[in-house]
Amino acid sequence: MAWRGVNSSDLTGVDAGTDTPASAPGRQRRGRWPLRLLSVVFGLFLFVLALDLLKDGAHAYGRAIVEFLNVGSPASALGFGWLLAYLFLSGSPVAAIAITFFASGTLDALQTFTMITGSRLGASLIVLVVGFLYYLRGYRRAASIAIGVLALLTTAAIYLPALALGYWVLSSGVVGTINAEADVPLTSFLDWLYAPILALIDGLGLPGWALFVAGIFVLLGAFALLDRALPQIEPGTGEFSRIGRLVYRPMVMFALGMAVTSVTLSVSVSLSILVPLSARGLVRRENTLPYIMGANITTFIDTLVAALIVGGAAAFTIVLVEMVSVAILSLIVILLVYRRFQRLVLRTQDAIVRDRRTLVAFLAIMLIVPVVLLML
Amino acid sequence: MHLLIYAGPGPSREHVLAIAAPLVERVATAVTLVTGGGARHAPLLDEAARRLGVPPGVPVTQRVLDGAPQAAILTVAGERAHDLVIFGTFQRPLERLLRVWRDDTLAVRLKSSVLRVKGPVRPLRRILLASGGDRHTFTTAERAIQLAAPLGASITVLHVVSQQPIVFDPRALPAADEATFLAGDLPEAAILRQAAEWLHARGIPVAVRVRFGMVVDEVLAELAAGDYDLLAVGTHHLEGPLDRMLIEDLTGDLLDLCPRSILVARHTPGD
Repeated sequence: MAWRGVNSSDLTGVDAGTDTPASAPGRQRRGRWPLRLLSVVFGLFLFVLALDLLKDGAHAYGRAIVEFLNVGSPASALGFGWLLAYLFLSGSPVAAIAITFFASGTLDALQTFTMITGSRLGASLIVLVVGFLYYLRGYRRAASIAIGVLALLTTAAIYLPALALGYWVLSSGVVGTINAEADVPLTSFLDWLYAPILALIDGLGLPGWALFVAGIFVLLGAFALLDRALPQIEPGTGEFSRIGRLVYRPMVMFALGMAVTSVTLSVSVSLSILVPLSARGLVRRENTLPYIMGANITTFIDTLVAALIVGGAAAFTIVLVEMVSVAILSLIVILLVYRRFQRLVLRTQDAIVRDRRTLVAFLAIMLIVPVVLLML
Repeated sequence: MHLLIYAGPGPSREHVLAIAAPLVERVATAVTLVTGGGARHAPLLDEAARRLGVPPGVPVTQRVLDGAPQAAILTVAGERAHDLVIFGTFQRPLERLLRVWRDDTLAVRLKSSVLRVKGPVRPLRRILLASGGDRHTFTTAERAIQLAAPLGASITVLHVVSQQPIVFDPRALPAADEATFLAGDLPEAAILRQAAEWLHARGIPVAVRVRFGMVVDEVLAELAAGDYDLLAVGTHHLEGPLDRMLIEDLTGDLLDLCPRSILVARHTPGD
């Protein structure tokens, strides 16, 4: 092979980074802020309305649904939340439903706690499912599903130990909510705002199951509106425009994941926000893992709000225990054993996506496990 | 090249002198020998000067300082610019646990290029150059050539692809195998090809390797698989306080974990 000599001038224009400059559409987006604000206000309005509808519906039919599906233990609640997240392609509505079940007395504190955990495990499969569809449609590249596998593995690796920690906290009485009934929810202003609307719906004489189904649809609509109101991050600008090229400190990516998800409230949306940060749609494996870990904590913010609105202090405590357990486990990993954890998770990811059979087996396990849990 | 060599007491003193001797003989324009621990170690510098075989006409400066070897190196290196600072490992296994004076801390704090000597005592014949796939590869290559050319060593340019797509767009997928990656039009592949041409044009036997996975793990795996004598890395991305706060110091990690000698190449104002 013949090599041609080069000097520094030959290198002009060759750089590992191909950052996209900030563009005119950015200015156009800034002009849409009143629409965004309206989406946020209306989205929040629908969110609270949906919680009320779900709570009313759950009061009448929630117990029947739960008994029909045999959700009588924390393990079955875990499987229930997990499967429901598959159905809704999102974890947040399921967590909100868990809170309304608690508020209506359908689930106890531990079952609510495990159902919320199940919702997060199920939600992380969504990125993988979308990738797998592309995979089946002919993009037979293992890389297209790697990020989904990574999201699921990271979530499972942190949430399952956090489940044990939170379970112990709740059942040992450390925070005193295990025997607590649903406490007084956040009322006054919200009651004043929603009472006439709920009275109007009550007047229609709809059965409980219809209220519950309507609540689910309104909840999905609320999340869709809130998603549309997400702030846009200009591509290729700022320190993190180099996110696809450089390896950042785990704590930096962890904090970024927390910060971004505290706005987006969704791990999958937070992952997609990495796209404009990396001009080529690629991120380093080393950066992705702590980012997902951070995102997995602040994704609970909307559930915390929902708990405060419909479940009061007891529900709020349950969600907070979940959030703090996940945060403690994540910080222990980041500060003490990060390198080993990273190696373990990324090697498992490689082993799963390397071969089609292992990938199909992994997906099958992810479907079978929650079904088995539901039957426990 | 103006070489600064730590020739005081230390667990790898013999190795340092063995590695430094051919460099002193072939490329040194000035040599500074340093020891810590005070005047009682001054005879070690005389002995080192004899063993290094400094050619006539090459000035030799001996500096004997009190205190730890690391502090002595930092003091002397801070007094004037050196092209290369050579020292060995100072820590024994128990000292590593204390993490008071880590070897990687010293190498990272120095402003000059550093050759940290470690591992089996043998001539430098095979150099592994870890490239980030960007233009800084050429700074590392320039420093590596300064060792490879006089010693007749070969250089293998290694790039680790740790990126993975976060969208399901096939255009965003990185090439999944070495040959496809190198033949592709990604900027990193272009840099690797150009670096190989550049080294070849300077008479250095060169090869290019691409690995997929995590950077530190893959660099160490290649180092072991290829039985290289030296790892050449850069610290070029850590250019400001914000960078140091945000960016992971992979060079520090490699210095900590690498079982062989490491060349930490630095950009100097004259480059």
